[in-house]
Amino acid sequence: MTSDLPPSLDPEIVRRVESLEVRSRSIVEGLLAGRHASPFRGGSADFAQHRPYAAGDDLRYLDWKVWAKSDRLYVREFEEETNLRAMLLVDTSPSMEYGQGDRQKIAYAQQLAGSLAFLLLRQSDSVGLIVPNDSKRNVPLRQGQGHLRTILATLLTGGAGTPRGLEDALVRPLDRMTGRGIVVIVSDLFVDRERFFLGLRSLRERRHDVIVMHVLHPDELDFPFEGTTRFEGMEDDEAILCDARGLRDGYRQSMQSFLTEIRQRCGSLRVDYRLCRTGEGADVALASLLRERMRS
Amino acid sequence: MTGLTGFAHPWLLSGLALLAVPILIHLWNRYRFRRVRFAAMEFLRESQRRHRRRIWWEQLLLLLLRCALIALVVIALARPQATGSLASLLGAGGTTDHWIVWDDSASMGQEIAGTTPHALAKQRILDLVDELSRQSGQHRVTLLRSTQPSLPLADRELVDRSLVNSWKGLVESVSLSWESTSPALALQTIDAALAAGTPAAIHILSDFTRKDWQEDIQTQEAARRLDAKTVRLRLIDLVTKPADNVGIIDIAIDRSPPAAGVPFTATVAVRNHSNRAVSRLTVTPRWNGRALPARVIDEIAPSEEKLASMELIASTAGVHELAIQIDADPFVADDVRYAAIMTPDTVPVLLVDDTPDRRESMYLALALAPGGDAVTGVAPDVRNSAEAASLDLSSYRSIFLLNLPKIDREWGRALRTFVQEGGGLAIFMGDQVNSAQYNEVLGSAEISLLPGPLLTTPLVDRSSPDEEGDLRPADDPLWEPLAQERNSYLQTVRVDRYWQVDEKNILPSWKRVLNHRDRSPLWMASNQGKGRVLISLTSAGDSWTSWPQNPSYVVGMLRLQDFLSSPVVDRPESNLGEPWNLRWNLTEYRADATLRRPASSEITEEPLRAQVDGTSASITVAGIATPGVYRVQQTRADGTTRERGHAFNLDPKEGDLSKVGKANLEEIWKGIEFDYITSSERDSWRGPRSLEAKDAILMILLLILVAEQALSLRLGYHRRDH
Repeated sequence: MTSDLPPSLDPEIVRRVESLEVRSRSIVEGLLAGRHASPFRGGSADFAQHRPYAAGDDLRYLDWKVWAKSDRLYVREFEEETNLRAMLLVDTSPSMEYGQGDRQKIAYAQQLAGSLAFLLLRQSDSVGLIVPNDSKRNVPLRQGQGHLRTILATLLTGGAGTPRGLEDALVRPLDRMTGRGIVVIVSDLFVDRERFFLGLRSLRERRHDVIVMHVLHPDELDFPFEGTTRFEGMEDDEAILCDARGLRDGYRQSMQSFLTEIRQRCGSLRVDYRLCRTGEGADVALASLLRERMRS
Repeated sequence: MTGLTGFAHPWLLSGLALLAVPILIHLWNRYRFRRVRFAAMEFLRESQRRHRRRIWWEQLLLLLLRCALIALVVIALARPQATGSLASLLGAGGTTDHWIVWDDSASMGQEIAGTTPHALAKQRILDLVDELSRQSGQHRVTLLRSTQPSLPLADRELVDRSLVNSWKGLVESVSLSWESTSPALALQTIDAALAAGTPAAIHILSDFTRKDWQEDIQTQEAARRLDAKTVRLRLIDLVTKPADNVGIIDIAIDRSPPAAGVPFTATVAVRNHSNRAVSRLTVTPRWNGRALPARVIDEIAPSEEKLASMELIASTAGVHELAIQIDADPFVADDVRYAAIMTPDTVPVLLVDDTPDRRESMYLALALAPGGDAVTGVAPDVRNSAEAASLDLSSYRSIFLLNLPKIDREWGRALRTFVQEGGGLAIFMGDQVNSAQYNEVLGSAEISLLPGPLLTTPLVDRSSPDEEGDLRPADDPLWEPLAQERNSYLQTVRVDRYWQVDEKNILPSWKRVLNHRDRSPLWMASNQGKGRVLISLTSAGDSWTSWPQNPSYVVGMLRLQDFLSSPVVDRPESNLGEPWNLRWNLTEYRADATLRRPASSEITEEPLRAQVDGTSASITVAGIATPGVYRVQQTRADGTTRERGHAFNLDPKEGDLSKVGKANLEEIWKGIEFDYITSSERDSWRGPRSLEAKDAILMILLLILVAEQALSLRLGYHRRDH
């Protein structure tokens, strides 16, 4: 398995790639157990062969002409089921490093992105990766399971990128993505919101299907701190010394306003939005996302 | 002066330096923070911007509360001394008013185990002041005697060590009063002087006799009012078991006033207040300072009275002193009693007789003043009605109207006044009487000197007398001397004519004294005002009855004279502490007078100046505290003098030493909060009932602590793991 990875890769990264791959596989297979249809569907495919209908097959793929002629139910199978192009934008700004272990936002984002990549590549879609805060780590759109490792290795390689690169990434790197596709943004959205939504609008105007996976740590949502605390910014040198409990209510109000604004503006742009609390499992977040998309 | 006057332990105030501690801790906490690298700084910044001012104020308030906590603890330990409103604000930590009520009534002089409650009270008062001088806070003491609460021995004096010494002399100089005064007056005085809510205590040192504490409603009411003012009432009972006491409760004489040279009987009443019988009690009379032969009362049962009589005679006119002494017992105050007996030279009696030969008054005048060796002291003055109308009736002790045909309305009014002021009036009927005119004047509602309407004509008895004669004396003390002679002399008396009264309309205040054989009333008597009236429906002379020729007539008339001349209520006697009021007419006596105290008193004479109102003068002799016979000498316009005597004695009720205990008091004073301390208990002062200083400070401390904790919790200083 390791042969698909660049030989210069740090063995630790290799180990983590493999670990992430296993987890992604586990998550996706768990999600798709018994499910035969993907919520991510391509627009056309080349016919390969007929096979007898089995219970549970999508009726859309029944070949009615064969049935009319032979009075037997056959399902049409295609050489390639998709020509979908999916670009993953994973925010690696310093703010994404908040938290520890599985609850670290960046780790959670990697897991989400890896799982999605696995899911999409598994159905022969083209998947690319953009690391907005580090343009050198962008991975172009490709197909095939071997591409998964490249994506995973890219996700895990390198530290935090520069702050506030997401807004730009929505415009320039995606310019090269021709035709309709899916853009999945995984971020804590501590960005310039006006520019961010400008970018989203641009994507939507180019008829891309956009999904925002909003990753936040429980501390950021609940602000459970108490006592005298010096909060030091992760993306700048700002520091605030305060009595944490005294500021809690005001913080929560501000956070709530932020989430409401994000949700509303995504809704107005017909962008799929999902708030992911790093405490909850990535499978739960993905299941929820898949359910929403199946419904739409 | 109002405000903080200092601290009991001022050096402890150096502890205020600890105020720096919360400030240092506050500053220390500013540098002893935890660091958190945080991503969502935008929202934190926004929250801080919005709440910065509120948080600053909360922090400041918390700091101040913590400083206040330390400051109050230090101040409480230093024990602030305050006066006035600040003192009341701090409760007893300021000044506490102590009112010591010293029961100095006579019963406090009972001797128990070689001492008296009065002496015990002295030591208790000094102990209390000494105790207060060692207590924290300021204490002011007022010392009242129950008999004279308006004249405090000490008035709100600040307690310190020097006061303890100065009070030794003060307390020691106070002697026992002979008065019988309940503590009610003292409690009322305190109630009037004490504002509600003032930290105060009333210490009552008493023997707690039943008379003062159970039967006196005013004491209970005053205590209830003080209780409502949250005053601490402390009852210090100085008597465990009261002494056994036998006391003289009364001296009565059988006639008033007995004239000089006329024998009279004095009767002494002695009561055994104890629960044990007393035997062989000696009663010793002293007549004008001269001892007379003693009488012995064989036995007096518990709670019983016994009488002892003695025959006395005043050889001269004037004021005489009778002192009765019984065997001494633990309570000597009622072992002696005095009576003032004023004997005139003669007792002037006016006989009004309009008959030409004075036959109606002849027998009566002879009976009242037989002459020769028989001295009655009565001086009859026989006048006709025309002369009598112009006389000053007040100079007579009694007046006899003898068969007068009619009585002028104006003179009727004068007679009415004479009786109301203490004179005795006898109305004898006869054949000259115009009954209609009598009914109209004497029977009028204005004068009302008849028992009922007289019938129009006298009744003539033509029946034969029986062997008991016509007189039937009623059960009345008047006839006591004749009781044994009734058979021999009264049986021969014949009454063959008398007036009748409409028996259906007899006024209830009249009683029969003598009846006719046929049950018709012959003599009827009534008390009117301070005097007495008697009507005889038959004659005083021998025109309608044979009585004047009978030997019993003399005795009967002298008894009648005694009856008429004895005032109904006035006895020249008062309890100690009560006033002696004298009134006289300035046309008779001058305005100035002299008070002569008993020889045993230090001051024997003191001038008196009367209050003059028109032609009348009055004097009130008050504040008599030593028993004995007191005399006031007055001077007539012509320079001659007369003396009036008045006996002052211990209130006989004071001799009842039975007491109430704690259980009784709790029942009597139900609902009143009080401390009860017995003579054997150590009296330790625990502060007033109102809030104490340390309580007030502790309460404030508690409130601040609660506020501090609430604020700390709100500000998140009580860290909880998350």
